[in-house]
Amino acid sequence: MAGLSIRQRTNLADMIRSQITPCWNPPQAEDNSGHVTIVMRIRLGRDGGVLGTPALSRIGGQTAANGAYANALAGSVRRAILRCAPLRLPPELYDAWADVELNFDPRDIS
Amino acid sequence: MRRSILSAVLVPLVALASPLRAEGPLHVDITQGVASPLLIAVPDILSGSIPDVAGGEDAGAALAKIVRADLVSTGLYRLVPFDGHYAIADEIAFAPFARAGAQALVIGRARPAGNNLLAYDCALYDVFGAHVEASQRIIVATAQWRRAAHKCADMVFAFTTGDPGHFDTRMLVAAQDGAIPGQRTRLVSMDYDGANPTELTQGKELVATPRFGPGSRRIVFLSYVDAAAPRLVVADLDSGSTTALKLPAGVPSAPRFSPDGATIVFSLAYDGDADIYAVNLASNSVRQLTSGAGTDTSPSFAPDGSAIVFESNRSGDSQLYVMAPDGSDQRRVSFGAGGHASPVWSPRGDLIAFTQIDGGALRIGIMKPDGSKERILTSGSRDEDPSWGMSGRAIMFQRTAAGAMLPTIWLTDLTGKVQQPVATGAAASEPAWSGKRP
Repeated sequence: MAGLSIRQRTNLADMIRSQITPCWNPPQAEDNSGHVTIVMRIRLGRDGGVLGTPALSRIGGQTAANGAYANALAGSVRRAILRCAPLRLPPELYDAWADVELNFDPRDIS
Repeated sequence: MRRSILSAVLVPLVALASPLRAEGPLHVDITQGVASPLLIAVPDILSGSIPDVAGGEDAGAALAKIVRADLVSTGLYRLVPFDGHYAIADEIAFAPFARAGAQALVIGRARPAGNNLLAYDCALYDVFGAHVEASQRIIVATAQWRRAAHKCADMVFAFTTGDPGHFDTRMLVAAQDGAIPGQRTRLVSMDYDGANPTELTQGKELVATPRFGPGSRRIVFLSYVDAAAPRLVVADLDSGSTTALKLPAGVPSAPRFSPDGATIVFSLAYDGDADIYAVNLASNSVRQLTSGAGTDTSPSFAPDGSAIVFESNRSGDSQLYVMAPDGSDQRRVSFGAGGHASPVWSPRGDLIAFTQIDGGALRIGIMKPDGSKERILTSGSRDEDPSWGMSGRAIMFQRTAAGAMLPTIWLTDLTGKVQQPVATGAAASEPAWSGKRP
């Protein structure tokens, strides 16, 4: 793990992103939804399955006005992770992807 | 010289940082997704027949059917078909739903709860995580059994979109029996999907432009007991009491409540000129908000009460204007193709719905309150009188098909892709959609 190059880490992140993106079906944001981001921490088994329940580590941009939207966004994120598991990742690099922090940011949703 | 010192300091720092960062979790940014309908399954959970529910049909199956219809009508969900059904005591296996592609699963279990009550345990499951995302025990009178399904759909909608659902609501329409428009209109109140109609007036008088106050209890409408002198009437649907408002001389039209329910704004025509007025219901004091040439009509408050949108032909054709609640700061906001009429501010505050008048055709459109991002949602020949659902995600309107004399009521989502007629029985016009029911 310590010997992993930045390029290898970037490739791993790309592999995870490309597998989770098609599974993420975020709720429609409106003007008063603001810019909410959700960070989930997951632990993966060697088979790429999610171990335990994905844990919400941080919600960014939550205000009094958009709490319900933020909850709906968090629900969509949890569904996306579980729907896409097991992730297909190189087994020889398991140590590098056993612990993953996913930052869901709906800024590029069309 | 400075530069080389800096590099010398930086190099060891970078070397130190890399292995430290590598020991944390792998960080992945996900900024794109697929904005498509949520794939959802709502299987029939058979409960057997329950007295006074669904006319003796299986109550669980009848309720599930309503939940499916509610969700599909919004365009935000796609149903995953499920052949077969469960019994009420069955354990639900998630695997078949996951294989069918469902992301979410709604399970509703109906049981009699004594004293003419129905209990409906409604749960929203995440299919892949196999866990409950939201659940609610809904208790309703058996006579109001359909409300249990609407409340269940409201819970699913609220949890998956972040907006309150608009399913457990009522609608008011001016229903018509006669073949001639305007003949024998009755004010009828019904569920938003057309079920459970209640006649509020008996057809002895003409009625027009019914509107709900906040919630679903108080309404205002135009009554033509004396056809030459229509009056604005406020009615309480619970007590049945009605009050005709005392107004200055003139012909009133297009009434609408303020968001706090304390005021009604309306248009008053006198001596060939129509202007917007506001009447305070507690003091009965009347205030004129617009003046000058041209017809000013169809006022509608922003949900926070900070502004009023209205229609005026002061510039030639009908266009939309926004003003402060005291009538100051009037400015035109509609600049799209054609004329713009009958504006209604969304309960979310983010959009204004209107009727577009273009080359003789009437269509329903939406725009932002500053007039930007105008979109026309319907393509009928005569679509008019939009009314928002409390979610701000659906609009009811009146459609007169080409060649038809009498209109019907239709429902559209905000893309215009999902449109369906509402089963009102007779011909109906001027839909008004309620807020939350108690």
